[in-house]
Amino acid sequence: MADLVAVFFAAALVNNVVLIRFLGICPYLGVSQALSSAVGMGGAVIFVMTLSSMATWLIHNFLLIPYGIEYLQTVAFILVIATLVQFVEMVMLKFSPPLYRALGVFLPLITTNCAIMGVALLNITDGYNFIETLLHALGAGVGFILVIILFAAMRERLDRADVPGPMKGTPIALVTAALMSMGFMAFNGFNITALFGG
Amino acid sequence: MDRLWRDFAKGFKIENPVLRLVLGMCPALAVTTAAINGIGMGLATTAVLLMSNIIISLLRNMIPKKIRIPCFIVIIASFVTIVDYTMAAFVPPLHEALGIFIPLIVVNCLILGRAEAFASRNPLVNSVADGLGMGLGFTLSLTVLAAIREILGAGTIFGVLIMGTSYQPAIMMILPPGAFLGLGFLMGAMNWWDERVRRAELEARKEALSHG
Amino acid sequence: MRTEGRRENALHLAIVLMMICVVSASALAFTYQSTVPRIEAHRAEMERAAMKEVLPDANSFEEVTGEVPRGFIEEAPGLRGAFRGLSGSTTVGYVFTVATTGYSGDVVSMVGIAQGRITGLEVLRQSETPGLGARIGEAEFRAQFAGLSVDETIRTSREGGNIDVIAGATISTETVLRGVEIARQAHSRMGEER
Repeated sequence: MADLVAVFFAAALVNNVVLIRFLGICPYLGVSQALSSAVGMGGAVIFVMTLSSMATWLIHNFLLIPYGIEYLQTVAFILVIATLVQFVEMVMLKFSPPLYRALGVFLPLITTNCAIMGVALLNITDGYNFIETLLHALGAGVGFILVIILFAAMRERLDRADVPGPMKGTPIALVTAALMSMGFMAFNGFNITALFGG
Repeated sequence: MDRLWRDFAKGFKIENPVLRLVLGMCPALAVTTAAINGIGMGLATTAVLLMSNIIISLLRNMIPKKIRIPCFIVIIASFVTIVDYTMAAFVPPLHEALGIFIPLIVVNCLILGRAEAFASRNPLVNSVADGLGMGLGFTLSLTVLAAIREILGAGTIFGVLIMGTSYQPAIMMILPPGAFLGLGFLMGAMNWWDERVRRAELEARKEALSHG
Repeated sequence: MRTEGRRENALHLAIVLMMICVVSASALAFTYQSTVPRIEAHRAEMERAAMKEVLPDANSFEEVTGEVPRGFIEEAPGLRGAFRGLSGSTTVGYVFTVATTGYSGDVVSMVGIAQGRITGLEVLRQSETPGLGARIGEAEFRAQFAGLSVDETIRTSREGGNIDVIAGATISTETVLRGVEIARQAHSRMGEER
C-alpha cells in the first residue's frame, strides 16, 4: 500500500512531469496565459493520461509482448492515443456537453502532448504493473495540473510586471519556470515510502 | 533556386523552431545537459523530419485529405522507430543518454507541423530543403543551449575540460532548472540582438532618406 | 447513388490507410531483424567488459545458476545476478550484479570478489545528481574499494571504515555501500555452501 502511495507522490512531486522530466512543456508554456484555460487543460490531461496509460499498458503486455512485436511500440502507442482522444471527444460531446465545453477545445492539442506519450512509455520502461501504472499516470496528471495552475497564476501577475523588453513573453516565463523547478527539486531525495510507513 | 535557399535558410533564423516558433521544447530542455546530446538529438530529429518530409511530399496527391493526419502519424512513427533501433545498434551510449526522448520525437510538434504545413503542399525538392533547414536549425539551437549548459555546469565541452581545474562548476546549470534558465536567457539574447539589428536598419534608412 | 459513392470513398480511405500501415510495419520488421543481433551483441560485450574490469584475473564468466544464489535472491531482492569467473577451468573469483535504490532511481553496480577481497567495482547504471551523487561512477571513488577484505561489512570513514563519503552525496555513497554489502553476503553464503 505504501509503495502505491509512493508511486503516486513520486510522479506528482519528486519527478514532476513538467519541471523535472520536461514532458508537456508546449501546453505548459502555451496554455498558461489564463487561469481558467490552465484548469481546463490540466483536467483534460489527467483524464486522457490515465485512460491512455491503461490502454497502452494493456496493449503492450497482452498484444505486443506475446506476439514479439515490441518494435511496433511507438506506432501502436501513438495510434492508441490519437484514437482515444478522438473517442473521448465524441463521447464527451454526446453525453456531457458541459464537460465538453470545458475541456473540448484542449482535446485535439493533447495528441501531440508529449506528456501523454512520455508517461505511457515510462510505465513500460520503469516496469510498473497495472495498478502502479494507473497511479503513476494519475500522479503525473495531478503533478501537471498543479504546476500549470501555479504557473498560470504567476503569469497573470507577470503580465503587469515591468520586464526588460527582450525578456518579455516566453523568455521571462522560462526563467520563472526555472525558479519553480528549483523549488520542486527540494522534493528530491525524500524517502516517500518511509514517509508513509513502508 | 532562390526560393529553395529561402526554404532551407528560414529554419535557422526567421522560423527557428526552438527560439522563434517555440516548438519541440521538451527535447530542447531535457537532453541538453551535454553538447554531444544536443547534437545527437538534433540530428535524430533531422533524420526523421527529412525522411517524413520526403515520403509525405511524394505521397501528397495520394493521401486523401480526410485521413491525412493518421497517415502522417503512422509514417512519422515508423521513421522514429527506425531511427531508434538504428541508434541503439550503432551509437548505444548516445541512445542510452537520450532515453525515451528518441521515441518521443514522434510527438515533436515540429515534425507533424512541417508535414501538415509544408511537405503535404510542396514538391519533393522544396520539402527536402525545408526538412533539412528546419532540422539543422533545431540541431543548432539545441547544440548552443547544450554547450552553454555543459560549459557552465560541468566546465567541459564535448567532455573536454576547458574551464581549468580551479573552476567550480555551477551544477545547477546541468540540473532541470538550468535548462529553463539557459533557454530563457538564450531567447532573451536573441530578441535583444534582433532588436538592435532592426534599429540599426531603421537608422540607416532614415539616414538615407534625410540625405535623399 | 450518393450513399454508394460515400461507401466507396470510405473503402478507398481504409485501403490507403491500410497500405501505409502494411508498408511501415514491414519496414519496421526489417529494421528490427537487422539491428537486433547488433544490439544484443553490444549488450553482451558491455557486460563482459564490465566483469573483466572488476575481476581482471578471469578470462571467461559463467552465470551461477545453482540453488545457492537463487535462494539468496529471494532474501535480498537487490541481487540481480551472480557469475563465476574462470581462468581456463579454475574458478578465480565471483562477480555480483546488485541494484539498490539511490537518491533518484536505481543504482546498478557490479562487484568482483576473489580470495576474500574485493577486486573491483563498476557502476553500470545510475541517475544520481550530476556533479554530486553521479560521482559514484568516477574511478577515484570506485578505486577505494579494491583490496578491501570482505570478512566484515564495508563502512564509510565516518563510521570508522575505509570509504570516503562524496561531499554532498551521502545517500548516493551509502547506496553503493548497500550494494556492496549485498554482494558480500551473497559471496559468504556461497562460501558456506562450497
